[in-house]
Amino acid sequence: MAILSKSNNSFRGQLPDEKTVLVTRKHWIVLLIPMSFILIMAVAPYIVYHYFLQPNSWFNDNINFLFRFLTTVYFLVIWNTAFYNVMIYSLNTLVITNKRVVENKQMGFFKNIVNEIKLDKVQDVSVKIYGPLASFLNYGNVEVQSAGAVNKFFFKQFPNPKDIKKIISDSV
Amino acid sequence: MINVLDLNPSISSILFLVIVGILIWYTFSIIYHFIRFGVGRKSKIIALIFFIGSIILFNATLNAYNKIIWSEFIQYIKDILLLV
Repeated sequence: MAILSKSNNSFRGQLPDEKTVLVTRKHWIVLLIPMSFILIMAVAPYIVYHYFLQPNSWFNDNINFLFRFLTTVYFLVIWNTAFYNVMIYSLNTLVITNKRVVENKQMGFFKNIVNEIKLDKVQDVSVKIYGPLASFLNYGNVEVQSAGAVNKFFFKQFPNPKDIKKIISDSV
Repeated sequence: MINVLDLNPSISSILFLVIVGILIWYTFSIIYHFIRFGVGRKSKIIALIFFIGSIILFNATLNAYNKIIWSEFIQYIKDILLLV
């Protein structure tokens, strides 16, 4: 199992003496919207088969095989689309270590942005929770003010933003 | 299974190879991103699930393709076109 990472929290570019304090991904609501759309799309072939195809007189075995072929191609596309969304969700991470805060932004295939703030440069951390859904599900934006070249960092739609703020504030 | 060597270099076979090529590239990209950029073990396990699912679906697609009697189907379309 050498392909697996050293631990549950190890990441690319981790320094030898660096310990991971928190690894978090965006709130699951971010993934829920595309995934529910994909789930609805996955049901479509069954509806087409039972309500539009099977009742017709011209429906025979060969058309049935053609429909099966088109359905498997369709499912292959859906499978890839679903995992593309999971990939984007999974790779958009916020890692807080004992030395720095690292945000990985995956925008698509081979489009990756890494923002990094050293903890000794952090000046201020604030939390913004907008709307009843965000309040109910406990997700929001964390804003970190830094003394580095880039003044402000926004971590959008992360779960438990107050806990993230506390962890960053305690680590500074 | 489809014997690629027996295929004539027709438009349909070229189209088939292009589609398979795009699919393989897309699948490879997803697995590559999960393994290369993923944090922790979970990403690698998701990549493995995706890979196994892709192989199963791809085989199911090939099996479904082989079961179709294309000559009968083409004749059927021709008959419909003649009626129109």
